[in-house]
Amino acid sequence: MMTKIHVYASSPELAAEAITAAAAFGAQPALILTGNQNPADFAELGFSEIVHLTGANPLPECYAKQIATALRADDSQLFLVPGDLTGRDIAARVAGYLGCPMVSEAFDLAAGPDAIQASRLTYGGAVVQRQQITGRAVVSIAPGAFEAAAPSGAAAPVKTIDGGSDDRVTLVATHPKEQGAVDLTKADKVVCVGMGFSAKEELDTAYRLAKALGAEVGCTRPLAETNHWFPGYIGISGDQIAPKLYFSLGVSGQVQHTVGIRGAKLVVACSKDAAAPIFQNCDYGVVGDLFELTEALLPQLS
Amino acid sequence: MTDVIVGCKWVLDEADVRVQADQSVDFSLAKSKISEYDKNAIEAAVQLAQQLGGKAVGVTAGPATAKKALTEALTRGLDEAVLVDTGDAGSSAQIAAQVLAAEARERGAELIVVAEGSSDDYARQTPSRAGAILDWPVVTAVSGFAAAEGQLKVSRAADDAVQELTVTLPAVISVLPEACDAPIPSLKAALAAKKKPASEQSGADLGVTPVANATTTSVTGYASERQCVLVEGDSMAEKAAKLAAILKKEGVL
Ligand SMILES: Cc1cc2nc3c(=O)[nH]c(=O)nc-3n(C[C@H](O)[C@H](O)[C@H](O)COP(=O)(O)OP(=O)(O)OC[C@H]3O[C@@H](n4cnc5c(N)ncnc54)[C@H](O)[C@@H]3O)c2cc1C
Repeated sequence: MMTKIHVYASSPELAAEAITAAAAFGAQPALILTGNQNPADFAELGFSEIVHLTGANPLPECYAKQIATALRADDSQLFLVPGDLTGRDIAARVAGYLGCPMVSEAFDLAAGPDAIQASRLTYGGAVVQRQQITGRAVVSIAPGAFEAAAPSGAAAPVKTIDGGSDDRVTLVATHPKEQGAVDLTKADKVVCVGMGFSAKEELDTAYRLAKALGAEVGCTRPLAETNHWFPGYIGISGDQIAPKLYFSLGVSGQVQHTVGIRGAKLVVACSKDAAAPIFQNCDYGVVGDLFELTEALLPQLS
Repeated sequence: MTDVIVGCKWVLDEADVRVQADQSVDFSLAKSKISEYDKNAIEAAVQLAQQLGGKAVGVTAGPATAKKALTEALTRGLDEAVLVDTGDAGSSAQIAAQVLAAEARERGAELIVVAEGSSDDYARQTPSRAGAILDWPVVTAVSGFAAAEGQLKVSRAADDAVQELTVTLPAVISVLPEACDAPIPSLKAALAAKKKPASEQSGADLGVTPVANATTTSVTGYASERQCVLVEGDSMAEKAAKLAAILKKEGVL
């Protein structure tokens, strides 16, 4: 199927992933950029054209209606968006303006004779749903599902369109998230901490185990989002990791979390609750107190 | 003064979903519940309705059986709840967004609040789609909020920064669970809920159109292939020694 494809991406890295995802359709996609994005940063990635919706608003989401209008004008059949927070929001708004179906966070994408097939996770990651869309479609792609394509080297022509001025949302201030966070998706070994830790000082136990194992430390969602002890977390709404060793301490292993460790080679878990779902999802499990286990294990590792 | 509409999705409990050895999925034992993060969204809507001097109205899209959601939603402090019966059209984001938009329009409400995502589909499309249908501004991933004259001040947990934004009403927001805790309803609240208005409307009457051009072609489960070996021992020292030997054997030390 020859499909006219447009991509929006918030960064050149994500745009290069979209190029790979679009390859299944045998068409060279065009790229949409907004506001203060610089077309030069995206020029040689392999897009047929760059459509820059210009405007003073720094929030890409505020250009969604104009994006939908541009897609309609170009009779685009597929709007493909790498699904970070901004991309996902833009994709769904464009789907709303176009009144067409959308697949969120597709990790697999194929072109049929006159349809698009896409797979995504539902029920926290327990279930894989395969969907088929005919006609115009919007797809957001799951982070990390497609490798970034190598740059083509050829500079794409740039078309500039007035992006309008929707100023109903105003950016008052930006506080960058804590830097120095490790990229767990590239870590060789990960010690993961969960709500079994009730005070931040107790994390020392996890850091000592991590040091002995040569591991990085990651966490479950409540430790990051509720306790604010870490900038990020592992799971369906966080990072999907693939280390050689994942070692959890005080993690119950709800599906939304364990979907993030499916790529791990070896999973070791300690929880004091023998009925915790993590024990159905690990290679080796220890039922008991995480502090006792760690203290007993550390001397054996040196 | 404006009413606040909040989405309350009635979903199957993901913890009850059974994946068989052949990767087929058994939903037959699954109980239904209010989508996990909708509880936080309801609390956010209650607080925002107070700040804006209006009512907080819970809206559930789904088949007639989803009516049970209204009772629980009302015990969580809402003033009113309505089921929009969408029959076979279901409650996917594309349907829910139409329902929320139609209710807001009909009631003249100027704020729609939804959760970050539902615990079944987790498509995270509803707020953005509802905003597009109404051509209202949208702010997703709201981690903190306060209503002021005709606008909201919100914090948004963006990809690499926390943004402080103002958004003029009418608007749609999606709230993260950490935006506000969802307290466990008291017995008193449960009794009071019985007296609150719970109504039913037909989706077709509201102009909700079923999703065209999209079908689910297969549903399969993810079956874990892990070894699930419990490391046993009379003491923690013994378990630790065995675990150390395992880690060595597996080549991860
Ligand atoms: C839509 C949605 C998306 C979500 N996305 C994610 C996600 O991406 N990532 C994620 O992690 N979660 C996610 N969640 C939340 C998830 O469902 C769980 O609530 C969460 O993972 C639980 O974290 P936990 O295991 O740390 O805490 P708990 O479930 O509270 O488990 C703590 C465990 O520690 C044990 N424990 C306590 N004390 C000790 C001790 N001294 N020694 C040993 N064990 C001890 C307990 O027995 C228990 O097993 C999501 C939920 C929803 C609804």
